[in-house]
Amino acid sequence: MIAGTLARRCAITITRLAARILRPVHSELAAAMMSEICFIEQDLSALTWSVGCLSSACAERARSRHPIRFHVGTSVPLVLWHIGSILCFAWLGLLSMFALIAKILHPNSVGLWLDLPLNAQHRYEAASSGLLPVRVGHDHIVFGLPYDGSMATEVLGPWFLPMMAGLLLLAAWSVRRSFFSALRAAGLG
Amino acid sequence: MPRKPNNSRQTQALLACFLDAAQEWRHGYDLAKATGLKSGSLYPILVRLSDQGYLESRWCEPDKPGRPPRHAYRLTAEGRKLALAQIADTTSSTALFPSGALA
Repeated sequence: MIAGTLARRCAITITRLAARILRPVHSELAAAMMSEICFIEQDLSALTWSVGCLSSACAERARSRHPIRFHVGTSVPLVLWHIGSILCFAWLGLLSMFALIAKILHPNSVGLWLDLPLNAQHRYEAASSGLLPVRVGHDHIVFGLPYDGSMATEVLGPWFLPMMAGLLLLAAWSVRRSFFSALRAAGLG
Repeated sequence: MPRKPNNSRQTQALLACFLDAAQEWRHGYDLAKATGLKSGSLYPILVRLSDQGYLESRWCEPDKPGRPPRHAYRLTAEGRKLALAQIADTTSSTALFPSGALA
């Protein structure tokens, strides 16, 4: 047997996980994956091989439409993880929804800020020339106190309402999905 | 137009690799090295071809002690027919559209 370096141990663990993900009908394939890893001499090759095994096992599982069933020992932390995510993030979603509604109804009472990058000082862009200059993956929108007027004047362009409505729908959808997913995980859905 | 089954470039490469030594049992990692396929592409093709009856498999005893038995694959008679048909298809399409004609 090849010596157990960290990469090798990771490879074996990942392949074992892939074997568990595969349905019982593919138990022979799972065993084949497990044995093949022992014949790969280089640790890094074994690691990349195991990642491929994991991806093919997940793809096979997704194609079969047989959901992975966790046993009780695993589902308890899963439920706790869901509840934790709701406690941490759902209130942020609700707060965003509240801010969006407030911005739509009373644009001057809530400020709209953009961050670029996340550690930079907030710049107040609002909807200056119609479309919000948001770059996906770079900017994020922050709602805050109304702008004090020392930097620039907020101009709400024609795209303001549709974009706010879109964001509102997105926020409502994500909050709803979080709650229902937690209910399902807890066996109440 | 629906795509023909088992007609992907990866499947063709794997079938051609099996056809090179049609009677030999081939192992997963060796096949990956010979075809350049990653395990994430290789195993789904092996599973599909096995399910369709184009491949047979068996466990081989390891050549070195202390290692587990190794799973090996070989083309069935149907698999050989499929591989030959795929190669004929590829050859005819290459003849119809020589290199660069489709570019």
